[in-house]
Amino acid sequence: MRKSIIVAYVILLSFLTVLLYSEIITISQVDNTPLLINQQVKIYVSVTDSNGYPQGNLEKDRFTVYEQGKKRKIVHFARGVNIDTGVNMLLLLDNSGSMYQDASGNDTEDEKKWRLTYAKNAIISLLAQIKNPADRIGFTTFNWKLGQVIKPTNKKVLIEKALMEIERPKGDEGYTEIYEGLNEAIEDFRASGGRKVIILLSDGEVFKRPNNPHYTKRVEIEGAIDAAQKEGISVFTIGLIETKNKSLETIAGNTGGRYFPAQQPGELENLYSLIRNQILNEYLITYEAGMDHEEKRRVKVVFEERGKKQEAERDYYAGTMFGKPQEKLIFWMFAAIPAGLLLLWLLSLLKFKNKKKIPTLDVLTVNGKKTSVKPLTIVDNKKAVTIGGSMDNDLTIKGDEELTLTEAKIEQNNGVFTIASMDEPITVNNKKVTKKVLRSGDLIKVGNTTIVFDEGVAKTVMKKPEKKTKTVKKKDRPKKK
Amino acid sequence: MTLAMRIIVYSLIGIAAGILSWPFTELMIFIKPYFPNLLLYSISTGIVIGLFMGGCFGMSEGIISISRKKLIPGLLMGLCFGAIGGIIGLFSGQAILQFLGTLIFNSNIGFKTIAFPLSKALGWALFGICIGLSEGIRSRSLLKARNGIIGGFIGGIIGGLAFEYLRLLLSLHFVARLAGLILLGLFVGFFYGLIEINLSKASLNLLSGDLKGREYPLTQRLTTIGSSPVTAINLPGYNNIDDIHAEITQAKDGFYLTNSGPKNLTYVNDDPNKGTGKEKGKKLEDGDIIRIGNAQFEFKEKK
Repeated sequence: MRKSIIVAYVILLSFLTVLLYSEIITISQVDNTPLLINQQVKIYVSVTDSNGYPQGNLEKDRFTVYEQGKKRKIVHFARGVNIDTGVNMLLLLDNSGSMYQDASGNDTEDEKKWRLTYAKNAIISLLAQIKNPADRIGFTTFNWKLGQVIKPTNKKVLIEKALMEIERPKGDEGYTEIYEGLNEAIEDFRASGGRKVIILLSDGEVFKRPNNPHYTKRVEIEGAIDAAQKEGISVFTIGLIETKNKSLETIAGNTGGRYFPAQQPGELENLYSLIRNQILNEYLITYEAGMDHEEKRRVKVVFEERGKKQEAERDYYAGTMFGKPQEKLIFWMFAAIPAGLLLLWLLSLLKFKNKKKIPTLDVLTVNGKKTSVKPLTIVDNKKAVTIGGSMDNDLTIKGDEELTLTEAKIEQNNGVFTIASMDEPITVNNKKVTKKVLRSGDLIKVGNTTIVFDEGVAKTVMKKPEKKTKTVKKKDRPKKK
Repeated sequence: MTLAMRIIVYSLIGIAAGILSWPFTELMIFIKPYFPNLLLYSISTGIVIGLFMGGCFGMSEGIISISRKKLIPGLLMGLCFGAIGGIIGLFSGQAILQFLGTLIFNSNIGFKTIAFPLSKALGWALFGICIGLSEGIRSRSLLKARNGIIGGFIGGIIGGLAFEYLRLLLSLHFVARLAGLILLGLFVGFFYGLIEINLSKASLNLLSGDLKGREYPLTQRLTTIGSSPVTAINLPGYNNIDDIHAEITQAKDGFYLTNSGPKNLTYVNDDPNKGTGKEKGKKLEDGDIIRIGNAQFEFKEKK
């Protein structure tokens, strides 16, 4: 247990010393829009010293770009490209119990002496500095959890109103979860695009609440810094009292921001111009992207100064329509080619032909409904077929109440079929007839029933003179839907 | 062939298109790292899938109208238009996917397991639309193009979603792709056949001869009837029918039958129809019997 504490301490110490006193490189945006057109990706990079001052005169050869671990070619390098770009600034205000003490840590009911009041004044002076209409300011507070978030807006009034409405935490709410609160605010801030900075105002006194239900998994200071770096967010910190705890300096120094002690109000006036300066001194690096299959690609920029390397990483989306390939090409997949061709060939074999060699009567509909009965074949050993509603017909239609006992009779003579009505005229091809020579495809309507006549293709055979007597076979199959 | 049969055949053709395009799609994805850029890769993959989809749907008319003569020209034209549709489709699909994907990627929305597949499905839908549209343009029919857009959109969404979720579920990307492509083809084909029925205001039901029992939906402004394979309603094996014998035009107030030449005779309810040339011809009523040569049709109009 003790050993692990020492190890953690050593790690933290080396972390602070390595990172605190060198340049910080930040990728503030990855723009993948040119990817599909010319295979290029643009990244906006800013380099700041440990005080948050932008390094604006660096040469192209100081930078190296890697994508998915592979070095990529920089095709274009530019400076000062973002003069008019607005900044989204999120004000993150400590609202823990200690903020209601005076600078020396004594409880007081004199509001003017509260640390919170200093913080409010700092915010109001910052709001007054903001001149660029494209800038947006968001606001939230934290103590044992994150307070209500005001999304970045250009209405300063909303922020001022929120400042007025800050509620003093009661009892257990007064804990100070700086790291977790910052991490949550960064996650919340994701949806806001463009350049993002967070301005964290706190007394720097960390009081973690044991078993905090809001933060069951803790990211600690490393996690919060990591999240800020991944999002390209510079965190500017404003310390309201002098404290031995250097966490605010660490956060600012590792994210490209800067620490401001609020006890020296003159310095705070530089905050806004410093933020704007960072944007002004951004580098636009355009590089040639690779053809990696991953949907999420990691781009890394390495900046080298006096033999020391600094790097920043960010992910961007590069999903494709059809995803990742097989690891090893499976050759049985080519069996799909004959399979598909076979299916097409089988489909092309479908003739859907209806060659009827013999004359037929096909009942299409009864009472407007389609029937699925087989057509009645008219074969040559019967003189005539009758159609009607009673059972003694050759073609009996049941269920059609409008049919009389026998409606019509079809006779054939030397291969010529003639239909004749029994009493009332019948309808053939939409015409009322009492007698008609039938041709293939004629539509006979009796009652509510439609019947199609088909002569069949054996017509010529039947016309031969040797077949003199032709009758039609009776078929006692009642036809019904 | 009945309309239901038509849907089945179209769907099966779509399945065949999906099956055929799959191994080549796999091959393209496998050799993706050798492509110099995403643009060339997208275009090439678009061409490959478009060729198979376009080719198969191009042959569908040949398969359905049982005219071998229509198969080859349909196939060739389908290949050309499919390839073009594939290029435009995959490029625009990839563009919208990248745009939406980046938007979702850079946001903190909580439903990413829905949002990412949806963005992919939209990309697929755009691809499907272009494939469906190319078949409509190939057959030079506005209605068919519209059907293609609707069918392609729905097919693309369903195919794309199926691909994405199967991919997440099975983690075997190539199996998911096979399923996705088959579904894309199936639904494009299915909706193509299905929508064609629903959008057609009228149909001709063939009552006689070899092809008896077939229904021809009248989806186009101009439907030609004849013995030549260039006609929309192609009647091989019938007597006394000219190459382009007659045509049915769709006007605002209904359908009109005209003879394509002065010597071509047509009959409506056994009465000769004399309309030729630019005249509107005979207006068809629901239930009319049309005779062309020895082929008889029943005209059915939806009210």
